[in-house]
Amino acid sequence: MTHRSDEDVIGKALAGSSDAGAERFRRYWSSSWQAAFAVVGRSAAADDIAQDALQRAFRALSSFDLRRPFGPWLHRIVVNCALDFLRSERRLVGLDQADPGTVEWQDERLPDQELLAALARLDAERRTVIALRYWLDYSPAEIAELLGLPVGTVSSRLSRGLAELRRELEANRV
Amino acid sequence: MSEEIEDRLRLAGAGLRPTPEAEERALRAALAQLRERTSPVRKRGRPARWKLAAAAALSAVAVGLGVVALLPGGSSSPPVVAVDGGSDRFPSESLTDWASYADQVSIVTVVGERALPAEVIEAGDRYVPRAVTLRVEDTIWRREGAPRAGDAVRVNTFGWSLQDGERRPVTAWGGPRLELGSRYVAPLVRAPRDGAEWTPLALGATLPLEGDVMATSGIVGAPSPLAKSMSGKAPTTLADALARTAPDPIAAKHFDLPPDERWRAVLRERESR
Repeated sequence: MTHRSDEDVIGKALAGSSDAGAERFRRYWSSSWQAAFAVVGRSAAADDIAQDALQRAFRALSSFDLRRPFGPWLHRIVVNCALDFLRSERRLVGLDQADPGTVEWQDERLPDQELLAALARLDAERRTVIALRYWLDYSPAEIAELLGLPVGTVSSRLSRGLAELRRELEANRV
Repeated sequence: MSEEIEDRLRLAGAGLRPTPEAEERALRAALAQLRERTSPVRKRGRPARWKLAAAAALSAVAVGLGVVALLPGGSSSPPVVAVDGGSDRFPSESLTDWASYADQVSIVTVVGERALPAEVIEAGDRYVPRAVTLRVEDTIWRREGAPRAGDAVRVNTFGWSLQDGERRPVTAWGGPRLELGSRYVAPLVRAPRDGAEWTPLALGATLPLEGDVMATSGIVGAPSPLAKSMSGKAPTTLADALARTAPDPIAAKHFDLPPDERWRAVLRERESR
């Protein structure tokens, strides 16, 4: 099977091809859902947010610069949609005031419940950066570009988030 | 411990999956959005040959475009493949956009062109981008403190599609194809990329000159409102209008940034409001 580039697939989607649109959707659906889930911590909400973000992306497709990578552009939309969702619930005024108690990762089907529970207790800033790094495999520099943050801020959130996770997990073992 | 946590994080991420039901629902919604997005293009007078044109011009997607129409060329020239959904780097629809992102507006003549390396799209289909040299004849407006173009600038632009051995010129819907020997009024910005230091803000913002006046005759498809409003007028009219136009205040705050970064800063600030 020949791998088709984003440019090819998106170009054909712009030309009205449903097949190309579906292919592009499937290529990014899971990662978009994971990004949404990382921020809001609820499967049902992540379903709606990822769907909304992909619809927004389709609407804005003609203004997307195809010489740039599509994934970060889409994931930025996803993260912004997820943050808007939290704000609309009045649970978050700004990312820095995120309430760790808002995350409800109670789904038994989810893997490594202990880790996810510790992750849920992180603030949304650190949780988002960790998810982008370890779930979506972005480099710190790419995360910085995606979130519009300095690389130093991203690195700091990553290291502090990991340290906090380590403390949480070690405390559980005592 | 850190490595162990990192491994566990990766494993947990790999195990996090949306349900197939959610995927199916979202896919239907996204495709409905796509149909809604593309249907107005078809309604606005696309020729009945659209499907034929689409098949012929998909090679143009390498520059980020979807197909609109195959338009007849001159009596001895091949048809022009016109494409839509352009990936303009900068806003260019209003004079405020020009005052915010252009470095200078110049009268230029295309004095050279050369093919850039072809990009293979699918078996048998290739897209050939083009570099053209613009001779700067006169500059009718310049943003204070902006970089100055030399007497000649190279810009990268639409080239040709190659399918089944046939070469067709490609251009964007709503803009002229920069043709050798033709003159244009072009808002130029120094924004280096792919070997070209300068670029027009957008092809659709490049206005053909016929004699001493701006025209829409060289524009493929529907001209922009700005192009229509300037049609039949001398470039001095445009220069006078620009002199009276203030830039976007957010962009003006970031005139110290390169234009791509300035545009991103404007978007970020607008989003945060």
